[in-house]
This record gives sequence, structure tokens and C-alpha cells, in this order.
Amino acid sequence: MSIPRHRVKLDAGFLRVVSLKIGAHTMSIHVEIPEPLAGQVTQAAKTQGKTPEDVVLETIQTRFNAFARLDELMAPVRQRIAELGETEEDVVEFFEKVKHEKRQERRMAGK
Amino acid sequence: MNVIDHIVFDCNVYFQAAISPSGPARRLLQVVLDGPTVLFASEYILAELASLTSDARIQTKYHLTTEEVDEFFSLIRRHATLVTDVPHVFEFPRDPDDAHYVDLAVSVNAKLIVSRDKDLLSLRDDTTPEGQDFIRRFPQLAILTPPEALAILDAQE
Repeated sequence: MSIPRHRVKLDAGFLRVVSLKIGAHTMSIHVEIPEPLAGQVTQAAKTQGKTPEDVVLETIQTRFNAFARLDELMAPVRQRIAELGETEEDVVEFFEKVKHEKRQERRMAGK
Repeated sequence: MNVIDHIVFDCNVYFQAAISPSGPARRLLQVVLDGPTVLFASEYILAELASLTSDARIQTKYHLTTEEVDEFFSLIRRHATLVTDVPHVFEFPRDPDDAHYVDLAVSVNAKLIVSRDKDLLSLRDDTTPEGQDFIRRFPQLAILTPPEALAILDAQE
């Protein structure tokens, strides 16, 4: 997930204090991150090749919009469904059809 | 119906919630995640879901990729309570695999199974011997479609 660079600013002493400025028209908050969380944020950023700002914002997004990443990834699937001219109901019907075929195959195989 | 504190989803509901951000299954899942209701799943359910989302028929038709599937499972594992030991208490000859959903619901004292499966939903029919047996044995357990469950949980909020 790409996060617009201008949306998050980090204080110089980010290991102790983080200031999130999430756009002038939305929200600006100052958050103290105590140890060991601050260290964990730093470590996660290093491990994932991201900035600490990205790690903090992605964590917040995960908490408040659990589906953001999934929906981003599923966009091509939704486009494919639209290209096929299928509805949500059609897709679930097909899923159910395959499910019952696989169950039948498993029973026939004695598993 | 009593307050829904524990709930079980059929694998088809998870799949429907993944493909359609504005559909009833997604809205239901969001209501559950935002509220006090605890969503229960099992390795059996996740294994069947994994088997289906990795099936060539589904992946090819809908261009579903491993990355999407991985994110989907990560999300479920983050938000559902996984039960590993589910005692078998219910027989369902019409589709024996569906019995697991009833087994899981009974083991966690869930009052609601949400499903799009016609066989599982047929247990609501009190004119059939199987439906009568189910209703007699598990009077507190309802089986609803996503829109029906959403209406119940919305009213409960």
C-alpha cells in the first residue's frame, strides 16, 4: 500500500514521540509511543523496508479499515467479475458449485 | 432471537465478503468486527476455503492470485477466533461436510450460523425429518443468509 509522503510527518525524536499530521483538512494528533513499542516500530520499519511513519499509519489503517489492503488487491478480481457480466450472486453460486464438486470428489476418493 | 454473542460463518460467506465490498456479506462481517459479537472459525473451515480459493476453476475464472488469497486469510486469522478441537455431535447425510458448521456452532455455544449453502439452509425447514430433528436438538441455533443475519445484528446494535 502506498502512503502519500506528505500525509505523515514524524518528529525528530520519533523513538519517544510521534506527531502525525494526517492532512490539514483531516486530523493532526501528537502521540507518545513508549518503549518497547517505539523500538518495535523501528524494528518493523527496518525489517519491512519502510519508514516508521509508514508502519504507524498502516497499523492505524489496519485497525480502522480492516479491508483496505484486501480491497486494493481484489480490484482486478472485481474488474474480471464485471467483464464476465456476473453478479455477486453468480460468483457465490459458482463457488458453491465448485465446493460441492470438490466435496464429492473427496468422498469418491474415500478421504 | 436471543442476543447474538457468538457467530459462525460458512466459507461461502467469507468468499462473498472478499469479492464484494458493498454486499451483504461484507457489511455483516464489518458489523461483527466492529461490535461485541465473536466470530468463530476452525481449521477445517479455513482448509476448505483455502482449497477452493486455490482451485484452478475459481482462480482461472476470476483471475484470483496467491497474493489476494494470502491477504484474505491473514485478515480472517486476525479477526476470527480459531477453534482447533471441534467435537462431532451432528450427522447430516444430505451433505456430511456441512455437519461441521453445526458441530462448531454447538461447541462454541453460537446462536447463529450464516450461510449461502442450500443444504445447510434446508435445516430450517420444519416440514422435513432432518429439519425437524435439527430444530428439536438445537432450538437456540439459527441458520440465516447474510442479509437475514445483517438485519438481526443491525437491530441488536
